[in-house]
Amino acid sequence: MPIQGNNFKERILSGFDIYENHLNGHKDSAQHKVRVDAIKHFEAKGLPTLKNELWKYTNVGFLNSLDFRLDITDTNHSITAEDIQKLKVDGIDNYVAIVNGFYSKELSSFDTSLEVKSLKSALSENKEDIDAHFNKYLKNDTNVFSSLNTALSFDGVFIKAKKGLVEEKPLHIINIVDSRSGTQFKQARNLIIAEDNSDMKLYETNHTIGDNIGISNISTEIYVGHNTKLEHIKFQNDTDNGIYFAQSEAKQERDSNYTSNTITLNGKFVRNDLGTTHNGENIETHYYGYYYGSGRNLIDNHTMVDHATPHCESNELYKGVLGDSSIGTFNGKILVRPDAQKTNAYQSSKNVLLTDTAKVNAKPELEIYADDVKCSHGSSTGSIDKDALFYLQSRGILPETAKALLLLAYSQEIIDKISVEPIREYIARQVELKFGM
Amino acid sequence: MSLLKVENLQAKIEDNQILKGLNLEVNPGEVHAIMGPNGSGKSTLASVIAGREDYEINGGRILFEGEDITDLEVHERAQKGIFLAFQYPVEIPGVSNANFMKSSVNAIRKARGEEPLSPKDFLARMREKSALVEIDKSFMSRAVNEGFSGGEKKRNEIFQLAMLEPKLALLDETDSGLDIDALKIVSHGVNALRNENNAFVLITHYQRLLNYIVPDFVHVLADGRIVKSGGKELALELEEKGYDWVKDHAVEEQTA
Repeated sequence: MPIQGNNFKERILSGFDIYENHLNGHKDSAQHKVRVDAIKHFEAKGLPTLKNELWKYTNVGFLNSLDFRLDITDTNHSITAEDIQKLKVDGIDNYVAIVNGFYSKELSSFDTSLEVKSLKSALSENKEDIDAHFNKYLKNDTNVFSSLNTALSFDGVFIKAKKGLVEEKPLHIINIVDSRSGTQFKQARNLIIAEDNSDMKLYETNHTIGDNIGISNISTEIYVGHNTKLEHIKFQNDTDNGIYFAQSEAKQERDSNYTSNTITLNGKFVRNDLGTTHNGENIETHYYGYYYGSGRNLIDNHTMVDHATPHCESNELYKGVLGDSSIGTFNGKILVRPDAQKTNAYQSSKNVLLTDTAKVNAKPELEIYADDVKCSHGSSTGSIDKDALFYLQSRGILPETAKALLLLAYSQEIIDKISVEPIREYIARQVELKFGM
Repeated sequence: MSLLKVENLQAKIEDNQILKGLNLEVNPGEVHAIMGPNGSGKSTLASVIAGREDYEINGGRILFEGEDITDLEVHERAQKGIFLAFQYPVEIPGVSNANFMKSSVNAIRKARGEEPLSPKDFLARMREKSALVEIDKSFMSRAVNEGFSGGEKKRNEIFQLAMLEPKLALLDETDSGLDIDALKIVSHGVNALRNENNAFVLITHYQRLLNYIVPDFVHVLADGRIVKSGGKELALELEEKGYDWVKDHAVEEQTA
């Protein structure tokens, strides 16, 4: 097997070259041009460094030392239905599996009124939807991982709720990277369309299966139509081999309500970029997040709410607990554009450090160009409340249990925001296990 | 054998020597009141017996049922049967009273080699003990002390005391901030729990509480030492003459 270059960029570019050389006559297609533009953008920018404001706390230089061979059309894997059974949640019977970036029909199972198919099929079958929403919201210009995804992805899941459709049953999106045969760098591209007056709930998890490093780079575009409700829960509890980049960009129409809840309990490296742009009045956006870092985990949450229109509200709460030598980063930006009068925007980030070697970087950002708005942000970092610990211990409770009780209580506020009971209970249990309860 | 024996106890916080050689002996079945002016070391004594680590013990020792517990951790003392009712009970958002008490009761049972209480027995006990201090049912699912009034917090302390049935209960200014109705409820709770096997140490600034919980002994603490001990009538004398009387008295005794 030929060596594909000495660093991340060389590996990507030579992988793309090999792909292009096999295209023969299809190089002139419109789809391919989009890829070429995106890869050129990556070639010009390269991996972000700490000088980049959006990456100032998170060094991705380690990607250069990972030896992987990029074969972007490779759909081989050895994931079985048995593997999936271990990843699904009791009580959630609708699920789709994306393995190494490709939608797996065999491993998916659902009975839903949503339209669910591979993105690849949607690209040829849902022309109108694709023209209206595909590659429209992702920030290829400012996020090099989005442009990488645009250049290198072929598939993922397409989910659509038709006008007026209310689907109570949540859909579980299971993202898997199979790293049994070697280090992998895999892209998945998802498109979620919630048309006017619809209501759906999504639950997304990511998993690396195998002894080698698995890098997932997942880009998700979300359209939230008029008077539509969308709840998107992400649960990240991967192995120490999992490296995860996720960009999720939403566009919200008037009277819509979009709730994102991101809970991270493990992973070698996790970077979530979450963004929403408002396009109408009376929109609500809720961002909740909880992260627990242990070992040498690095968990980075970047959020952005773009208040482009008046009379809208955003509400954001992220809470972190960082132990051992883990690093947590929260960078939340609220942009209130000149037209966005009567905006209510609230943001809060709270962190608890369990050790002297754990670290947190919290950077709230408010950028306000309208004068009649209510905005607030706050950020706090502390350690476990000593008085509370003493109080619990004075009732005979062991120090470890007392600590766990307090940390569980701390996470509860975020977990309680999850409206789907089996998921809420499952995640609550996983947090308990993390704290040895 | 005495239940609690405090011998020549000296304790400081940072450079501030608060207890300066304190002696106290408590037997099962007894109620002791420790009175004294602000800053005399009353609350420190309670905290040090409970095992609070903010204080450094730099002399003397604490015996519980004959065993030296001076170096034991907070939870170990609680498991042996020492209970501190806090002057300022701590609010713990997100932890329900029921969950808190379940963890507590079962931790203590486990330390004693007993099986955890069955959910049914636990619930029955919660009901019985909460009735004792007139606590509403909804209280169980509320977070510990969060949004409680001063009186509710103190009643919660006595409720926990009732749940855990300790051998020794230290009540640190449980009467402070209570209106007369709450004071009656709290006192009634304590009196109902008194028996020949347990003991109470009431730490208070005022004599008022002692009208409702009648002590066997009253000690006056001043400047880190017990300067005068007597029966319940000592509390009345203190109320009448004020703490200056004891302080002067103590100085006379020391210089005599």
